[in-house]
Amino acid sequence: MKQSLDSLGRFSEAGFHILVALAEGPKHGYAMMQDIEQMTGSRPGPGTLYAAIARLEQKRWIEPVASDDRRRPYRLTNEGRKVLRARLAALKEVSRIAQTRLADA
Amino acid sequence: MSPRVPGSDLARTTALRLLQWYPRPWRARYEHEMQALIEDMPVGWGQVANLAGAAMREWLSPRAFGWPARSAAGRLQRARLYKFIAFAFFLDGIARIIAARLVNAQFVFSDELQRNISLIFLFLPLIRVAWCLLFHMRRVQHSRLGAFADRHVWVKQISDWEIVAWTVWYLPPMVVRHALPIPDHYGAFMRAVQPFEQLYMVWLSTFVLWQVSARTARIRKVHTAFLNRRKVWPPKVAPL
Repeated sequence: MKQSLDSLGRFSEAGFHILVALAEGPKHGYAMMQDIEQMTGSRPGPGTLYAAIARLEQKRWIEPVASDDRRRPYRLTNEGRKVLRARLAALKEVSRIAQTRLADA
Repeated sequence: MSPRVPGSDLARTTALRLLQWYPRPWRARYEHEMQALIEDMPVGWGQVANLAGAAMREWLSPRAFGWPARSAAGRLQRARLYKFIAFAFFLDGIARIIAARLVNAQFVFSDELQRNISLIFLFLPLIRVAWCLLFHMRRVQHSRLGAFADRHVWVKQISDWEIVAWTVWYLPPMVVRHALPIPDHYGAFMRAVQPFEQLYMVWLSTFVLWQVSARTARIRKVHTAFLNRRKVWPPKVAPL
């Protein structure tokens, strides 16, 4: 079965942002939050962030990195990287179509 | 000392407290991380509302009940609770026998006697529980009283035997309740429930005592460690 970010339901957007944040390298919760704020201009709530992290972890798209600190970093898994690539490809296509339509109008 | 993070202190404290609203398996896995996050980030009331909503949502998620993997510690914990409930039933049976004998002997339970029995036998264990809960407060933990309680652990922790002792302590009010006739104004539901009223009280009190007991704290620690071990994480659960 092909997995997509849409299966995260209401957390698909937050999940997508987390995957993008982790594409750069392992990050803990607050670093992800700051990165997402820089990317999107709005900061996700802590409840939303960890709800999305839990779902991504359950799907094994991200995994925790061993750490003694309470601020546990997470990293992308290979599966997560594939899911992110698929979503970016889909977005790219939507973006291309939208640009074409705007140019035609 | 860490630099001061902007945001309302009250909102931050409330947010940290709200973490207790999450299902226990969730807390076992993410509570420390979320605490660190809340301590690092500027917290406003919007974040507090976000946390409250997320906590409610997690209770509705199938994982709220699907997460707890069964560990030996978890099974032991459940067995303890069943043991105490079985003991409460046993005690209720004894109370009924004593009550029947007293009724046959035409013993009169005056209003004053009933009131005194309720006061002494019901409130004393509750005071003991409140006392133990006091030691969960950081201010008390760091006080002289906290230091004293660290040396003499029984002051702040209830043992299994103490739970049994307090359950036996409930016997007199149970006897009184079983000996008294059911009031005329009680409806069908209350008539069905009333004979067990005292038993519910014992269950509830036993459960509260059990929650604050030292052994519960130790078993919970082991169970949490079990949930966090690599083999079971992430758990195999139904898709959301």
